[in-house]
Amino acid sequence: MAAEKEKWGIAHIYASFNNTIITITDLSGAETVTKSSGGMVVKQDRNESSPYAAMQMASNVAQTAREKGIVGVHVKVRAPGRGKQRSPGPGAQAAIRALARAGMRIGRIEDVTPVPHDSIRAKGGRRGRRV
Amino acid sequence: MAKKKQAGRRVEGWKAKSWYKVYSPDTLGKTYIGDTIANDPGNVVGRIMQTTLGELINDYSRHNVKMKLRISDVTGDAAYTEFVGHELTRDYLRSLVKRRTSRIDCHVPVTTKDGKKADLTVTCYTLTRANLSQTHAIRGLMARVVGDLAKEGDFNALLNGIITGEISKEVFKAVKPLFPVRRVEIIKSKVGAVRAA
Repeated sequence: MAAEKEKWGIAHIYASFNNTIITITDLSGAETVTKSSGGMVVKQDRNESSPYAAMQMASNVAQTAREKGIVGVHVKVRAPGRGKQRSPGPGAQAAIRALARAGMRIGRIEDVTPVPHDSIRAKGGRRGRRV
Repeated sequence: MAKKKQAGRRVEGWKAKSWYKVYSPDTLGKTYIGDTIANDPGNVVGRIMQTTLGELINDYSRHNVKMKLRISDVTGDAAYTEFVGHELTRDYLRSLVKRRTSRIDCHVPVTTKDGKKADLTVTCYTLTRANLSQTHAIRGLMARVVGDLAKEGDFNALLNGIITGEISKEVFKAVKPLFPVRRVEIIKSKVGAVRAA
């Protein structure tokens, strides 16, 4: 690990198709340093999950985190998972890149989507989603 | 407006908190693994730090093992941890799975010589697909070998066996005459088992 003065944190990025939530915590995950979500940076609800919103959020979060003495983050990306989609939404990539651009050091990047060993029945009913 | 107010309050709370340096257990070299922050030292106890084995033992080939360390004791601004489990990263596990081969999982509740209980999940990847009776036989054998190995040594020996890969090597040797195996891994462990042994 880096020198003892340099404090690291964990960036939890939850990217669904409707929103992106970034939470930076300390290494134990018990104490939140800062957090941000789509509604804090964009007006329209449908833009909450957009890559642009994720970029804004990431730069805000990176700034406050740096003020609190955190120089680098390990990234834990997750999608909704469980009964829903298991691949992260459009905000995840943008958020990680923006964190790096904002001067945060990026450590490990890991996918922590909750994946069930079995599964519940997918929504949409027997005949599928009828548009 | 509301946003500003909240931010101000949080900074105040933040300043009241202090940082604690977290160290890994004696058996894992007592290295510095990171910091955590809290109002009160009492709050720090019981938190679970997650780090990779690669970082603990400075071996970059072992970055696919996530170690869970629970803070058990705080003195001054130093926090000491104990090992509570490990897990392999998901991308590594996914990379091992191949088509037309079997992956045989096996949960083994073990008790070590000094009476500590742990749950291990052992997985065997075969070279060709095994049929059901073969799967059952392999699973039974793996459970027996791991259980015996755990019983022989104390808890530290078990931990060492897990991180050096000694246990999976033994299991590999035991299963090999039975069926062509590609790889055996202990993919997960939980110390202080909740399941009845």
